[in-house]
Amino acid sequence: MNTIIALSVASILTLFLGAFKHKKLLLPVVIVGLLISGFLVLPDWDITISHYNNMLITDNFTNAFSLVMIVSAILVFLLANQYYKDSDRSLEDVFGVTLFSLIGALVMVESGNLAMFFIGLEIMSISLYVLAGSNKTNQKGNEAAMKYFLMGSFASAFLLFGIALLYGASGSLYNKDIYDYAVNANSGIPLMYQAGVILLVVGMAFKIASAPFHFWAPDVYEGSPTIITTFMVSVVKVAGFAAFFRLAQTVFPSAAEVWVNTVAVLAAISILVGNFTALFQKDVKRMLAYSSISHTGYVLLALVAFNSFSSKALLIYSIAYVLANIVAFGVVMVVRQADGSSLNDAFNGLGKRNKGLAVCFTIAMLSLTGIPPLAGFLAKYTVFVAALNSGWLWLVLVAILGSAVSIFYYFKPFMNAWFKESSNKEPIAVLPSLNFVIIFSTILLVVIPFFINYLLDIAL
Amino acid sequence: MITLAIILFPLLVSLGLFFLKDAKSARNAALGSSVITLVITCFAWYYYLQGQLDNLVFNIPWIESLGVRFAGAIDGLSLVLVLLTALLFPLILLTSFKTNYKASFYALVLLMQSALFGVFTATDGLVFYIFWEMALIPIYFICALWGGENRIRITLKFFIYTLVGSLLMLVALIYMYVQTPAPHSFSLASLSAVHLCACKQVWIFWALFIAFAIKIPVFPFHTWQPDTYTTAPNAGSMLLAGIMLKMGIYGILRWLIPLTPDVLAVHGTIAMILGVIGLLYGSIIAIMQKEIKRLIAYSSMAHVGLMAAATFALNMDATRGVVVQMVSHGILVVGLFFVADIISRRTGTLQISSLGGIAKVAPRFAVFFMVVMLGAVALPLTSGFVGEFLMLVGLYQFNVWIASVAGISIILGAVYMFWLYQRTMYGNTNEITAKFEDIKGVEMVVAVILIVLILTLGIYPKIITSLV
Repeated sequence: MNTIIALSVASILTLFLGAFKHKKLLLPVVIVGLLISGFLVLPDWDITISHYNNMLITDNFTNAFSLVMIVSAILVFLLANQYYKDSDRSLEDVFGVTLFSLIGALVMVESGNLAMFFIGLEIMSISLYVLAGSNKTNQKGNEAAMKYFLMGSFASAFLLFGIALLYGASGSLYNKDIYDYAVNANSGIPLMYQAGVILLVVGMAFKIASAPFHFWAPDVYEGSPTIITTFMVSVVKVAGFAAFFRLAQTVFPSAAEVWVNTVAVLAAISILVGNFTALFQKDVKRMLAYSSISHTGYVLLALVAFNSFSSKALLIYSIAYVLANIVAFGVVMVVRQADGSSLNDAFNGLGKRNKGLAVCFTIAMLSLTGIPPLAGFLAKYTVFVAALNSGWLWLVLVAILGSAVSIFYYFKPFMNAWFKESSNKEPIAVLPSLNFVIIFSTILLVVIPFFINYLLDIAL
Repeated sequence: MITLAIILFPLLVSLGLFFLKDAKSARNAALGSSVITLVITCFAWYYYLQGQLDNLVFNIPWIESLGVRFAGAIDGLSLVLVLLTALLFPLILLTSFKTNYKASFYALVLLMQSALFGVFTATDGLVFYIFWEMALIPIYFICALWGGENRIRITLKFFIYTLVGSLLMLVALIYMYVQTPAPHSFSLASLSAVHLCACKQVWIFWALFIAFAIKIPVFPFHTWQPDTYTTAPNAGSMLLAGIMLKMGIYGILRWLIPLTPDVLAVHGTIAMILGVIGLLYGSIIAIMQKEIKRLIAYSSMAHVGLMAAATFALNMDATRGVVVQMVSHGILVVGLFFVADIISRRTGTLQISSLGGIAKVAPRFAVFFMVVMLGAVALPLTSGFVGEFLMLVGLYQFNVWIASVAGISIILGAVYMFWLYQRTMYGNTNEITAKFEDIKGVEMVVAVILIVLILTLGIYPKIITSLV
């Protein structure tokens, strides 16, 4: 709770500072606010607290994922320094609304009541619709924002209908009551409840961009400003995964055959669609969008396994995924600023123009592919173990096929960077904040496999 | 403890070399490091001979909740391969002494050495897999950055082919891991203790075999090999053919056979037949080759086909033969690629038709080539003979027909090797070969070391056979 309060104060302070034209203070205030809220998570470690009569429940699961989201937000904001260095627009609206979105994400993950869940989800989503179009002069951005808004509202409507049906079946909006209702239902679970569950799954699947509800993602990711895309791909995805997992754990009893097979099929389709479509992409930003769809598929694999190991696999996967994507999008941002486009060909010769960026980008791509000994491999491995423990052999084989296919498109940009010459030979200079973010994330990607024991020991 | 040192020392030096700018000092540092590693390995050999096996084992907890421990040990089989790696790396670095490679090349080579040591000593399934994949990244970059024509496409094909195989191996390993009694463990001992029904063992067998078959390569998973060996820089080819393919054979001996004992009779025989087909196929195609490196690639495929077949004969003679042949083949193929390297650097061509009469102008080189070539043909008194003979004896005990087919291919091996030697070394010199400088200096040192190794192993193979 303290986290959310601190973040709200920080976000409102940002808006006011912008109103009073204190431009230089904006980013530091945001970063300090995020750091404070991150520290406020720590005293509540290993304690389960219920706020407002079970509306918000903070336990180790929410603490861990809140930390992941806050740290990724810090990294994304440090990248924003580079992204907005040449623009003279006032940034308090972008920063403030981004913080609002983060607050919504935290509320969504911590929710213990479906109404609270919906409030958090909408705070997050509406802020994102605004952010996607935050570059008002960019036509693709406007189109992206419109598409996101329309399709997102549509999906939220499905979600709301599902919540209403669950309320109708069980008589309460509290997660615990709905769970108890389904567990105690002696004469089978009524159709209204099952329909509610499926609609909830559909709504969440849209939000995390799982196939076949993914059609909004490539256009929105490509059209939004790259820094917003980085935020979407890191914080929002992790929030979606964590919230979906939370829902599955606390609302749907594991005995419900209704949703497990459905989500398994969604996972398989996401992996296949994401990987095979990414093969044909010429733009790296779009390719990363499709790749994030395939990663959603792998995460759904952990979800479907639904054993005590799944939440740990989810945490490791989120961390590896967020770090690699932050590096990837950071480099894409730099290439876009230097060459105007993020096509595969724009990466030619990056190895000579800025060696550090090229090396970090290579490591990030290798981690996303799942090559040992990087964090991405261990993340995929823990997901596979979780899935095989529950007997999903066919899903793991599909995931292996997807991983094999993914080599092709992950390798193209960094192969271009090292093996091809470019016409523009001047070295690329970047701000120290971007260097810090990219090098820090890359080091973490390499070092995490050694300390993975500590991550796995967190009692989620 | 000493095993851990063997794995970590090249890794640390490699990380340091990545940040070095000066190529010459990087090259010297790499050479020095590989010699030091060789010395440490000799210590391990000494410990093994004295029976102090505790020094050779390490077992560090890593991911407890997943049952993965960072564990490795050196026993006889691992010791042979670790010795081979430690021995060949200084030689490979010496063969590239005069070529101006950047510092990162040497860093990649040492990184690969560390990964290879890890593969040969790991006793934990996940650690084995991690080092297996880790060995792939440096060789990919070595071949792609410093290779010949078409290198990007060919190395990408090689990488993907090998990765698909490794992913199959990962699924098989995780599947067996899940079958171990809870708490699950990934160690070789507990994986071998899992006895699946024969119907499931078949799948595990083929998943693991395909992964190893792609690496070795065994027909029909060999299509990546000739292109990759030809395109790679010479050091790269030596690394690939000399040591990396031994990873596959080691994998069969260490992981495949203990994990799937019940299906070896039937499916092992199928695998053996594939190996023998590769032996014949490689030999016949090698005869038709017009380019030296490609000929060596196909001849290597033939030799390893025989090795892969012999691993499934499942008797002591065949296994001893395989181990000796692994060492011998490593040394010989480094020698052959060194010959190709010398020829290409002196004459600028590797086409056999444009060469001839080199023996007249470079007698020392001719002697070196002759010894290496006779070793490849498996003449008695060379190391090649011991391995081939033991493998044929083992195969004969298994099945007479397979052994006779394998025996015929030895004749084919003689055909292409002698013909290669005759066409390139004898006859008249032409304008390209007339000014062929004889080997001297560093090249002479390497040549002498290789000749000594080939003859020593041929005359006194007990050094190796006693370890198995």
